[in-house]
Amino acid sequence: MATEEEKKRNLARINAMIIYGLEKGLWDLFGESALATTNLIGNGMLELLEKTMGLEIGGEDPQDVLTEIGRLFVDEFGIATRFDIKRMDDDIDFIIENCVLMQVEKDLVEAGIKPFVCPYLNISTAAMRNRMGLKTKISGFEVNLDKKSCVLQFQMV
Amino acid sequence: MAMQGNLQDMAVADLIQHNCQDRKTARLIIEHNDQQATLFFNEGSVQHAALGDTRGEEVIYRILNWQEGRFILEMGLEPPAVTITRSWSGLLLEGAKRLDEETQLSTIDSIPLNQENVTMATRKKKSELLADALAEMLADSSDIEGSAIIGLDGLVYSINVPVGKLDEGLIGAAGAALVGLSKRSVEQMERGDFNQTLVQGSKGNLIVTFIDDQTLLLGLTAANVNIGMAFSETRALVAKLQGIL
Repeated sequence: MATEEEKKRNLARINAMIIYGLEKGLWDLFGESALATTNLIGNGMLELLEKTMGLEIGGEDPQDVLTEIGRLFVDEFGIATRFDIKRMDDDIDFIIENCVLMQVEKDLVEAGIKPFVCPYLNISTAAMRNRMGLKTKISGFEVNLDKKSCVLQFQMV
Repeated sequence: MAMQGNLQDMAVADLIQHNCQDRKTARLIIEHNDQQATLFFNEGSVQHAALGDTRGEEVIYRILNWQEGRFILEMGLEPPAVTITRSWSGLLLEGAKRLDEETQLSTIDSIPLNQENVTMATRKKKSELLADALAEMLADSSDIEGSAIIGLDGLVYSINVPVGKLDEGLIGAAGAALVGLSKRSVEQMERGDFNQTLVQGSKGNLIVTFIDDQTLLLGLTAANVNIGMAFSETRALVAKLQGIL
C-alpha cells in the first residue's frame, strides 16, 4: 500500500504520462502543425482561470500580462518557484524555474517533439493573441535540466 | 495637378504604399538636405527611381530612412524608364530588413536617439507587410477570392477573406491542422512530397499549401472556378509571398 507521499508522486507521474501521451499522439498525427493547438488549449485554460481564479487580462503591455500569469502559477498554484520575463524589442523570453512539468517537457524535446501543452505557454499565447490582439509567434521552447529552467520564447510579428 | 508635403507629416514608406495601393500614375520628388530623389508610380508599383547617379531599387533603400525634407507629387506623369520590377511591398520589406541590419551592426552607444526613432517610424511589422502584399495580390487575382497566411503554430499573420464574422484563432488552427494532417497522410501512404490540399464545399473550395516550411497559404475560391486555374494562381501567389518571407 502506497504512502500518501508516494500517492502524490504517482499522481504527478500519471499527469506527466497523460501530457506526454497526448502530445506525442497529436504530434504523430499532425506533425509540427500540432503546435496550432497551443492557442486553442490556452483559450480553454484561460476561460477556466478567469472564472475560477479571477484572472484578469488587462493593459497593453504583454510584459504586464505575462507577469500576472507567472505570478499566478508561482504564488497561487506553486507549480514553479520563480519566473522572470525579459523583453528585447519584439522578442519576449518567459523564464520559469523549477516547474513540476520540466521533466516531461524535456522528455518531449528529446523525442523530437516541440512541447505545446504547458500552462505558461498555452495561457500566455491565448492571452496575447486573443485578449490583447497581438500577432504572437511561438519562437522557441528550451528546457535546461541543469539550470532547472524552461525558457518560452515569443516574438511579435 | 501637384501635391506638396513634409516628410515629418508623411513618411517615405507611407508615400510609396498609398500611391501604389491607389494605383496612381505620378512622379514623386523628395528633397532631403541637399539631395533629391525622384520616383515614378504606375499600375500599382514603383517603376522607376533615381537619386544622383543611382537608379532602381537601391534608391528606395537609401531614402526609406529620410525623416526630414519635403515632397512634391505630380499626377499623370509616366515613368521615363522601368528600373524597378519588385513589388512595392517587397521593396518596403527589403528596406526594413536593411534598416534592421544597419541598426544591429551599430553598437548601442553609437546610435543617436533620433536614428532609433527613424528606424522604428519607417519599419513595418512582418504581419503588416504580408497583409499589404496579400491585398495587392488578391486585387490582381481572378480565381482566388480570399486568402490567409498562417504559421504552423496557428498564428494568422494576415487574413483577407470575403466572410463576415470569423474566429481567427480557429481559422489558424484549422488551416495548420489541415496541412499537417495532409502532409502526414502523403508521407504515410508514400505519395512523395506534399504539394497542396483541396477541400471542396457546396459554396466554394479551400486550397492549402506551404509557402515555406513554417508558413502556409490558405486560399478561397468560388464553387464554379476552373480548379486547374485556381491551383495555378495559388502557385503564383506562393511564389510572390516566398519573396517577401
